[in-house]
Amino acid sequence: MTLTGIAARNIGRNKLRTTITVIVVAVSTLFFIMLRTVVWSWTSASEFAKKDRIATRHKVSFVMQLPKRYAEEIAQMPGVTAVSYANWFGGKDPRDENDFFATIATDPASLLKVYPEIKTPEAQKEAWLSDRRGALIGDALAKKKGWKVGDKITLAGSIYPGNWDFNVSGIYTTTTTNVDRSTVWFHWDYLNESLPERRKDMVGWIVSNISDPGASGRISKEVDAKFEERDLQTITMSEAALNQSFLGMFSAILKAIDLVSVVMIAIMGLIVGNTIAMGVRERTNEYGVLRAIGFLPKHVAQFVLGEALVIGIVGGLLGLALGYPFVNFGVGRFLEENMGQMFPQFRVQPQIAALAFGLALLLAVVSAILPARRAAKLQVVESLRRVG
Amino acid sequence: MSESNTGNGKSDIITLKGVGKSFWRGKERLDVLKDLDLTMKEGSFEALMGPSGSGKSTLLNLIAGLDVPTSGSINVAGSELGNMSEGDRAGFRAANIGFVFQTYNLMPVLTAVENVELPLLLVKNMSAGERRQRAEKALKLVGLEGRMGHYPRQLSGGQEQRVTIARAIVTDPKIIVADEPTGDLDRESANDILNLLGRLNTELGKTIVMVTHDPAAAERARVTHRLDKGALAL
Repeated sequence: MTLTGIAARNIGRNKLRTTITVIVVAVSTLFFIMLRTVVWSWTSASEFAKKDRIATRHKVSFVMQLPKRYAEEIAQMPGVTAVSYANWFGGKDPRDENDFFATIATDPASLLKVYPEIKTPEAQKEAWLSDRRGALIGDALAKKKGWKVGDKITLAGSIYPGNWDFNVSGIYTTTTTNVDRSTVWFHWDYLNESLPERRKDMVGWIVSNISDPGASGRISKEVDAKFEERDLQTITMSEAALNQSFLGMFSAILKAIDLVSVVMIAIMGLIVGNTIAMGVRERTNEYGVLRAIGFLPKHVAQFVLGEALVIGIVGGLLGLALGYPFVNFGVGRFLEENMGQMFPQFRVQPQIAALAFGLALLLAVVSAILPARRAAKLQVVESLRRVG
Repeated sequence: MSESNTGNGKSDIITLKGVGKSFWRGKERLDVLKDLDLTMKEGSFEALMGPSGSGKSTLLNLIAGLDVPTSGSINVAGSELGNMSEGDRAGFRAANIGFVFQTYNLMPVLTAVENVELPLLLVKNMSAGERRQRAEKALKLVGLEGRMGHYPRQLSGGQEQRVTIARAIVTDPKIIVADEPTGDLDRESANDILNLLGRLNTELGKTIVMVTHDPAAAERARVTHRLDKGALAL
């Protein structure tokens, strides 16, 4: 029997209140882990980018297009080993227009060279390359939609209006998490031949492989210099830099998520503090007895802080136990499959779990300092008069 | 008024000289005890009686070292309590005083034996096994060897008070202070408790100071002090 052991038993006296408090700590820990994982995953996305890939787009905006011939010219430049190009199609499933997934028109053969991490069985690859209406679909999206090889699907175009029919030529998986598994890739030619003359032969962006990852800065500058005197100028950057520039647009959101995670933990602390304070009020008489039989104010404080510590430990561990499967196999799996470029790896990091658990303990104890001080300062005679 | 013998020639264990105790209620000063002189012999069994507000519980608190006097001096078991720090008085209480309360004040999350063991947590260098052994011995002494694993809610009022007495004697203190120990008990249970206190006094030589309203309880004491308006009634 120890003082902390008795404190642990004390918290079981009001089971409902303790259970609710432990749940609050657990849920706060879980959400802290999740929000911090969002920030970590997002900010570390650039680390997962391929170092030997650079992307070229219109200098002004993502939404403005470049002539396809730029891709052919870049392919001729020294240090560039492969080039592909793509257009954002903006297609939707007419059965469920709110269900977002990427639909991109590309040159299939060059795409598979530039993105070697996209894997599909050889027969499916050949089928896709030879069918102008063929589509290569990420396995996560195919599973979600129930699409199989050989199916005929129709997508409604938003940027390019009308219903567009495709044959599902293949299902792809990826060897890395930086390419999402929920994209519909299809032939750029199929899109291009359907467009009016004034919109033909334009691409949204160009992606190039380079032989020396260390030269990405130099080659990017050379690409942009090449088109500097043309009507349409370019901006070229490494895939990592592209991800980071994209991230910059969301920096306010990341800060907000950071703030929310801290506020959540702080609220948890207040709730724990309130629970402990209620317990202290109810047990004033018992603390008086302890003091009467010789326990010191520090022992009483130890009782109170011990209760908070136990709540923090139990709630924190429960939060971790729930957080790992929830993040790694629930939200994480969904985000990796559907938003792989933004969240290439959405897994609980040990340092985030340790921080969450540490904060749960720390804030539980900190929130109990005030009630503990009050309990320790109680006058013995006054405490004994109170009936619990 | 003091009655009967006061300790068969033994030395004084409690000495109060000119003790006063005042409280402030806002700007109003309340003199609860006034210039009180009192001695109690080692091994005596003494009762404090008096009407509500007469100062008997305040006097008991001063003797037990729970509070300090506003004036005068209190010497208990060789310690001058008025000069002691809060921490020193806590140590004094742990070593010298056993408490028996009217409302038992047992910890509901602890079993009978664990409640009795509680004061022993303060004893340095005592193993868990020794603590348990001493707690069990104290419970046997009060006749509760069959209730050691019971929680307070599983015990009757009289049994709870016996556990309190076991807790009071487990550290082998010289003095037991009892504040209305039979106040919440029926007559039969009250008699049992008073018999037990009597045995602790006669067989173990404990000095017992008991506050009571009950004349029947007071009769068990060898000395009865009557207080009225903060002074001993003559």
